[in-house]
Amino acid sequence: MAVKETSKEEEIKQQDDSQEEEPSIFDIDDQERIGFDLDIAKRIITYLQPHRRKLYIAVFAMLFSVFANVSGPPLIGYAIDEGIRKRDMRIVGLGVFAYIVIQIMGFIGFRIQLGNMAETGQSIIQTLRDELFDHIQYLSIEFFAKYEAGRLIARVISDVNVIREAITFAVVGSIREILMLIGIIISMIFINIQLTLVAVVVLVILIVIANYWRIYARDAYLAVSDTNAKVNAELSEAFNGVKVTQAFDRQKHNYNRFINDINMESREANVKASFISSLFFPSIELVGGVATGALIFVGGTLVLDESITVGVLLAFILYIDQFFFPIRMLAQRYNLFQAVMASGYKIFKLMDFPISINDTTNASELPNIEGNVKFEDVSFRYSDEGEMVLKNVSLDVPAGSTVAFVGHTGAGKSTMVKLIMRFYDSTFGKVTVDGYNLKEVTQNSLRKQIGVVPQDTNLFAGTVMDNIRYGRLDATDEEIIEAAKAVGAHDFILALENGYESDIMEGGAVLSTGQRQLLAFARALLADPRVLILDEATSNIDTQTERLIQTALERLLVGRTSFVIAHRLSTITSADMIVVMDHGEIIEQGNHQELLELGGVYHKLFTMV
Amino acid sequence: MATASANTTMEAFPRPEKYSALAIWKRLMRYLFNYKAWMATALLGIIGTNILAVAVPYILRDVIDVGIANNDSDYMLNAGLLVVGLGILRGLTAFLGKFFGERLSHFISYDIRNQIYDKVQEQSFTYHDNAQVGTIITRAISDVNEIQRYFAFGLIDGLNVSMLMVGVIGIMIATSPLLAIIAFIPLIPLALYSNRFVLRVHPRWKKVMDRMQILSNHIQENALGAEVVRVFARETYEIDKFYKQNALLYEEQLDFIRQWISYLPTSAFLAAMSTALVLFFGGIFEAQMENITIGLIVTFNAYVLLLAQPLRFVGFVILLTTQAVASGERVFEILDEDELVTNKPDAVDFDIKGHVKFENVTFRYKTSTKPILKDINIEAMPGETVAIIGLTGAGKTTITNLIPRFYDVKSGKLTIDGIDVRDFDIYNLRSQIGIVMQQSLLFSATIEENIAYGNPDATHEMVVEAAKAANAHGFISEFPEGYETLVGERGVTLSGGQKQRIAIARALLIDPKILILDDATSSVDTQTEFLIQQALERIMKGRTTFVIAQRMSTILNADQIIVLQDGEIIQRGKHAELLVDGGLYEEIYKLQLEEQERVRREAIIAGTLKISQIEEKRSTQEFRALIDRLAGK
Repeated sequence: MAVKETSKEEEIKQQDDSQEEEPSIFDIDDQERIGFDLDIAKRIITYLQPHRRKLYIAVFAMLFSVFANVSGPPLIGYAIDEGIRKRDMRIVGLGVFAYIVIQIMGFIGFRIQLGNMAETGQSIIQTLRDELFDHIQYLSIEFFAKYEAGRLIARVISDVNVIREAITFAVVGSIREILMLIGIIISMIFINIQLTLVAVVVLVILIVIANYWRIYARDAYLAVSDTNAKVNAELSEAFNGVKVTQAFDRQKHNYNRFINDINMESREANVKASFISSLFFPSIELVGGVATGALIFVGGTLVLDESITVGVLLAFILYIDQFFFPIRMLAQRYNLFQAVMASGYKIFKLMDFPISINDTTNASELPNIEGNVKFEDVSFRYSDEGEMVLKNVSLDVPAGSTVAFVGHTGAGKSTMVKLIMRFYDSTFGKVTVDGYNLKEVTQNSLRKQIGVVPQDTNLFAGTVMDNIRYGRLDATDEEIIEAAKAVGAHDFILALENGYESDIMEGGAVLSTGQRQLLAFARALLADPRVLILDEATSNIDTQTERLIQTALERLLVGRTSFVIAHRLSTITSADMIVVMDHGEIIEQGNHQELLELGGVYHKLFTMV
Repeated sequence: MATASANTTMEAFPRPEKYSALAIWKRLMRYLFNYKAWMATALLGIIGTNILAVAVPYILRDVIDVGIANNDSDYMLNAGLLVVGLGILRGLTAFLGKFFGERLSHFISYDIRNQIYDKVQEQSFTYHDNAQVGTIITRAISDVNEIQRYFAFGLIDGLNVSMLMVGVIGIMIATSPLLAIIAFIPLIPLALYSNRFVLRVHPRWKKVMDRMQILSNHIQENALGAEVVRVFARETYEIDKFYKQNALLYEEQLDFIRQWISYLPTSAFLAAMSTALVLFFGGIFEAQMENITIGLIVTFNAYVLLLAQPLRFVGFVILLTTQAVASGERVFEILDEDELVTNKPDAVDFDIKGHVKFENVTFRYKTSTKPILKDINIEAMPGETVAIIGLTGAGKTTITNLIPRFYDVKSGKLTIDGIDVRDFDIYNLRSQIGIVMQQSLLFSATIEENIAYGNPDATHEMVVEAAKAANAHGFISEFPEGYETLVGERGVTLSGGQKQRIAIARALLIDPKILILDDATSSVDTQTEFLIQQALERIMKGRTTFVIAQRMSTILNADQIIVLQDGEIIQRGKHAELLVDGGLYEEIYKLQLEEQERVRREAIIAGTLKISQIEEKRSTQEFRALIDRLAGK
C-alpha cells in the first residue's frame, strides 16, 4: 500500500510527543542496553495475541514434560525399593512400565511445546519484519541519509532474531524451568524433609553463583562483542585502504597498533569471558560434588537409621543433578530477556518513526500532465528550527524545456529538485505542475510521471533486463531492448557474457560507472516521464563513454521538461534556461549566452575552470 | 560491497596446490607449539575431571553394597567426605581443563589474525587488484573463529568426550558386560541419531544464513536505492519482494528448527529408555546373579546419564573438525600466497633527488595475457612535471604505480637518480614519494591523524600548514572540533572535494621528492574545483611530478605531455606542439578541454580573473613558508 492514512500518522505523532525526553532514533547506540520496560514487554505480547491458542497448548503440553522430569527419580527409587530389593518382579515391571509411559508423555509434550512455540516465534518475527520493511518504505530520503543501511539491517535482521529466540525458547522455557524447580522441591518435601533441607541449601548456593555469573558474563560478553566489532572494523579499513597504507609506508605502524591494541584487546576480552565461564561451570560441578557427598553422608546415615530407604537416597542424588540445568538456563535467559528489551526498544523506535510526507485525505490523482512546473514564492527549511535553505524562490518552467541548475554546494539546487519530486513539502509557497499543487495530489500519481536519474546510479541485484524494467514493470522485453538501444547501451549489454540476462552484482559492481549510468538512462526512458530530473555524475568517464552519454542525454531530454543539476559544460551551454543559485536564492537566470554577456556570477564560475 | 563479495567464491586467489586434509590439520596443530605448557595443563585437567567423574558412581555402589549392607556409619562418613573431596578436586581440574583450553584457543586465533594482517598489508598491488576485501575479511574473522572454536571445543572437548566414552564404556563392560550391552541398546541409536542430526541440521542452518544474507542484501539495496524506489513509486513492489523473501526465510527457518524439535525430545527419550532398561533387566538379574547388586544398578544408571552427553557430542566434534580443516585451508591460502614485491637482501637507502627514467619498460598484469605497457621511455629531470593523458585502460595509472614499486616491471628498467628501483629498500623509496590517488580514501580517525598519516610525528603546526597549502584549512576550521573532527563511519561525512584536499595535505606533509597525482575531477562544484586545482599547482612546484591529467591548467603547465594509447606512447611534447600534430591529443582536447580553455582565455582578456589571481599569489607565499619549515625540520 503506497498510501498511508493520515490518522495513523497523527496517532504515532501523539505517541511521539508524549515521550519527548527520549533520544532521537539517530542517537540510539547499537550497543545500548536498557532495563526492563513494561511498555516494550506489552507491545511484544500484543504480537503473541493472535497465537494465543498455540501458546496455551504449548504451556499445557509443557506440563507433561515437567511431570516426566520430576517423576523420574522417585519412580526409579520406588522400583529399586519395592521391586528390586524385595525381588518383586511385578513391581519392577510396573515401575519401569510407568516410567516408560511417563517418558513417552514427556516426549510428546516436549515436542508439542517446542513445535508450537517454534511456529509462533517464526510467525511473529515474519510479521515484525514485514511491518518494519513496510514502514521503512514510506520514510523520507533524509532518513536514509542519517540512518545507515547497516543499522537498518541490524534492526530488521539481528534485533528481530533476538525476539524470535526469546519467543521460541525462552518464554515457555522459563516457565518450564521454574515449574521444574518448584516441582522438584515439592516432590522432595513429600519424600523427606531432612534431605530436602540439604538440597535447598545446594539450590540457594547455585542460585547465588548463577546470579553472579549472569552479571559478570553479560559484561564480559558485551566486551567481547565490542572488541570483536573493533577488530572487524579495523580489518575492513586496513584492507580497503591498503594501497594508501603502502603509499605512505605505514604498514609497520598499523601492524603494531593491530597486535598491541586492537587485536590484543579482543584477545584479552575473550580470555576474560573464558575465565568467567570456566569459573562458573566447574563451580557448579563442584557444588554438585559437594552436595552428592553431603547427601551420601546425611542420607546414608538416615538409611542406616532406617528412616529412609536406598531408593529415596538415590532419588535425591538424581534430583541434585536435575537442579543444574534449569538454573543455568534461567541465568542465561535473564540476559536474553534484557537483550529482548534493548532490541524491542530499537525496533519499535524505528517502527514509530513518523512518516513525514503523507497524502492528504482528499488527495486527488494527478491526471496526465504536460509538464509546466512552477515554483511560487517557495521557501523551505528541513526542520522547524533550521535555516531556510530556499528563500522566496519563484520559477516558471514551460513544458518541454531543459533547465540547468548551477551553483555552489549547498546553494539549494538539490533541494529544488527534491521539492519537485515531493521528497519534501515546501514550508511556504507552493510548487505546481500544470497548475496542480503538489501537496494536493497523491505521491504515487505524481512520481509515476516524474523520472529521475540520480548521481549515484543505484542498480539492484538481478539481471540487466530486470534493472531496466524497474522503470516500468509491465514493459515487454522488446520495449526494454528498444530503450537500451535508444540510449546506446545495447552494444555493451550484448557484449556481456549473458547479454540482457547478465546478473548485476550488488551495487552494480561488474559494470563501469558510465555503463551503469547508461542503464539508469534506459530505465528512465522506459518509464517515459513527462518531467525528468537528472543529477549529473561527473566521475572519471573516458572519452568514448562520455560521447555515448552525451548522445543518450540528448535523446532522453527531448520533449520532456527536464531539470539538470549540471556538471557537464555541454549540458549547461545547451540548456534552455540556466538557473544560478546562491544561498537558497536564484541570483541569475537565462541561457548560456545571455548569462555570459551579463558578466556576473555565472561568468565567474564558468571561467574559473 | 563487502557483503556481496563475502558471498562470492575465491576465484581471485589461485590455489597454490591442493592441501590434504591431514596436512592442514597437522599445520593447525603446529600453532600449539607455543602453548605446550597450557595444552599440557588443559589435558591434565581433562584427564583428572574424567577420572573423578567416573569414580563417584563407583563409590556410590560401595556405599549401597558395602556401607549400607554392613550397617557401617563410619563408612558413610568416609564415603561422604571422599565424594566432597573429589567434588572439590573435580571443580579445580574442570577449571584447568576448560580455562587453559579456551585461553590457548584465543591466543592462537590472535596469532593467526596477526599473521593474516601482516601478510595482507605487505602484499603487492598485483595481489590487491585481484583480491576481494570482503572475502579476506571473512577469512580473517569467520574462518579464524572457526579454528578458534575447534581448539576450544572441538579438540579439547573431543579429547574429553573420547576419554570419557572409553573410560565409562570400559568400566561398564568390565563390571557387567551383560548389563552394559543392555544399557547400550538405546544408546547406540542415540549416538547414530545425534550424528545424523548434526549432519542434517548443519546444511539447514547454512541455508537459513544464506536466506538471511539475501534478506540483508535486499534491505541494504533498498536503503541505498531509497531514492530510486521513491522516484519510480516502487514501494509496493519492494514490499512484495521483501514479503516473498521473508516467507522463504520462514520456511527455511522452520525446516531448520524442526530438526531441533525432533532431536531434543528424542535424544532425551532414548537416554531415559536406557535408564528403564538398566532398571528392568538389572532388577531381573539382581535376583539371579551374584555380581549384579543394587549398588551396581545405581552405578549403571549414573553411567548412562554420564554417557548420554558425550554421545550427543560426537557429531559436533566431527563437524567442528571438518569445518576447522576447511577454514584452515582458506586461511593458509592467504598466508602461502607469494609476495611479489620484496626487498633484495642488499637493498639500499638513498636520499633521492628526483631524476626518474623509464627505459624500455614493458609490463603485464598477472591476470592478463597481453602487456598493458609496451616499451615505455620517459625521462623526468628533478622538478619537472610529466602529464599523462589517454583513455581509460591506456595504462596511465600503471605507469605511475611502477615508480613506488607497487608492481615490478617485467622487462626494461626504471631508475631513480640512476639506481634501479628494485635495488631500493621499498620502505625507504616509498617514504620519499607522495601520492594523491584517484579516490581519496581517508581512515576513521581525526582529520589531523589523517593528514599526518604518512608522518605520525608531525607537529600540529605542520599539519595546519599542510592543510592551508592544500586549501583545506578553511573548511576544517569550520567544524566545531576543527582538526579533531572524526571522519569516516562514526564521524562527519566529507564531500569528495574536501576529501581530495585532505589527501593533498597528507601527501604534502611527507615532503616528497617525487609526487604522483591522479588528478581526478570528482563531482565537485566549480568553486571547489578551482580550490583543488590551486592546491595541486602549489604542491607540484619543486618536485618531480607525474600527473594523470584531467585539467587544462595542469596540462598547460606540464614540462612534457605523454599521450598513451593501448600501452604505448603515441604522442609526446608540449601542448602547442601536440595540438599541431592532431591525433588523439586533439580529440581529447576538443572533447574535454577546448571549451574550458576558450572561456578561460576570454576571461583573462576581459580581466575578470583578477580576484582569483590575487588569492593565488597570497596562498603561494604561505606555501613557500611551509616548504622552508619542512626543509629546516
